[in-house]
Amino acid sequence: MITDYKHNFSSHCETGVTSGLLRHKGLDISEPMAMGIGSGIFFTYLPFIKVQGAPMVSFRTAPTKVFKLVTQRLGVKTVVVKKFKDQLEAMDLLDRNLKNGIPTGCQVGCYHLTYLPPEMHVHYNFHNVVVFGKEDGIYHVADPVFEETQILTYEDLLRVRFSKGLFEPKGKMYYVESVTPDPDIKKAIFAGIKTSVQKMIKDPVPLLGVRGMRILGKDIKKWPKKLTAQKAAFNLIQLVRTVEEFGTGGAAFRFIYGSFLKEAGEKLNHDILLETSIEMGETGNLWREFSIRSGRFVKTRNGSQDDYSLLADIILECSAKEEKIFNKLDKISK
Amino acid sequence: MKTNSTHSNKPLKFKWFNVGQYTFEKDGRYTNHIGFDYIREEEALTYDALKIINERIEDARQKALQGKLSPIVYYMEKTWMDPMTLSRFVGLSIFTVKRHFKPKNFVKLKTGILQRYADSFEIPVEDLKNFH
Repeated sequence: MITDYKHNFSSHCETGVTSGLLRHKGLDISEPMAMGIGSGIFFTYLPFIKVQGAPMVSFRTAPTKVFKLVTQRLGVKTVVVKKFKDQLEAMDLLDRNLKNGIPTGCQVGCYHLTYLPPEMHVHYNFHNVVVFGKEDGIYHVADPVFEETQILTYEDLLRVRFSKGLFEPKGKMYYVESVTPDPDIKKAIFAGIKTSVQKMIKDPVPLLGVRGMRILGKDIKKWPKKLTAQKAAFNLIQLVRTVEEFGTGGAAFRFIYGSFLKEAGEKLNHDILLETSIEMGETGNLWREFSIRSGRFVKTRNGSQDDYSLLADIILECSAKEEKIFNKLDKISK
Repeated sequence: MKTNSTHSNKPLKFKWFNVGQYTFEKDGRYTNHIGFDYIREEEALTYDALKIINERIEDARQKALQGKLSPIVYYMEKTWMDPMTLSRFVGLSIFTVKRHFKPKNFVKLKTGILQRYADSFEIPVEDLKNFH
């Protein structure tokens, strides 16, 4: 049977799924709001993990973390089934959910996801979709980054839910049981901001947050000397694609987060939130400038040492600006 | 319905799909719309990434034919993996997998291990044994 889930076209997979599942239960949480309350803004630079030869740079938190935090902070009763050992059990539980009319979020891998265009078939296991119906053995899937809903066969869905590689999903699924009608949204917003501040400027691990951005900037300056021209260009291309193309809503979530700050500021009549929203937008524009310049640089391929250090300087500027923003947010979230 | 390896047909065809984008306007508003706006569609960096990946695949193929590297490297590049992902697929440590990249270690491999590699790449094991 097919549940009456309303497809929620959005920019980022997990915030889209969270917002869609909550809206289905009647709690109107927009995508930026889910991003803010779930503390979705993040930065990690992991040079020792290579994805297709390029160092891993991630702008998102661990999978299903946003969903967990949002539902916790809004007092929503949810069930997160972490891992399945038995593949058939995982599918049976999903079928039972659909029979009861519960749309269910699943963590899936992208490599065998049949409806994706071929160049998106990467070994990336952090994607999230909502399975909202089953008819004649065909599953109806609402992928937040697609305009239309998609279909998957039983085998294909089983395959993507148990895809292999780094950070395997292992059939992880989650759904909303019941919501509290009037949650304390102010408390939730500040709790979300506090965690984001913690992650971005106070984490002891130097590769996370703004310090990680600084290390990345310094490393980019070394690329032309250390690596071959092809490898350095590939690293840069993958970085720009992470920033712009892989479902970030543009400029590495900075625009979505700025949008959240604006929405929260208007809701609570908070001047500092509105002020930081504008600053966050400016930082987003700086990230966008980084992407545009890198794009131009990769196209012309006449770059030398200077181009890479110029690009790295933009990232360093971003990190300085974001540090200021999060210091400001730190003061109000106490 | 079992689908084959997604990157089996070269050259890859690029199909654009639209994503939701947020923009920060000059007057401090945030708007959202559909489509990329950091670069024009025909200039997307995906093309360059695919070009470099295809170059690397061809390079690995040549080296495998010349006997400088084992066919595992070629199939790894072809299925868009990296040593770390491949080690998770095969169930061996990353150092062991990297050892198998050398032809002298590769020829000593037993059929069981080769089968595991072949399953990860979704190819028959003969393709690994007689690479041409």
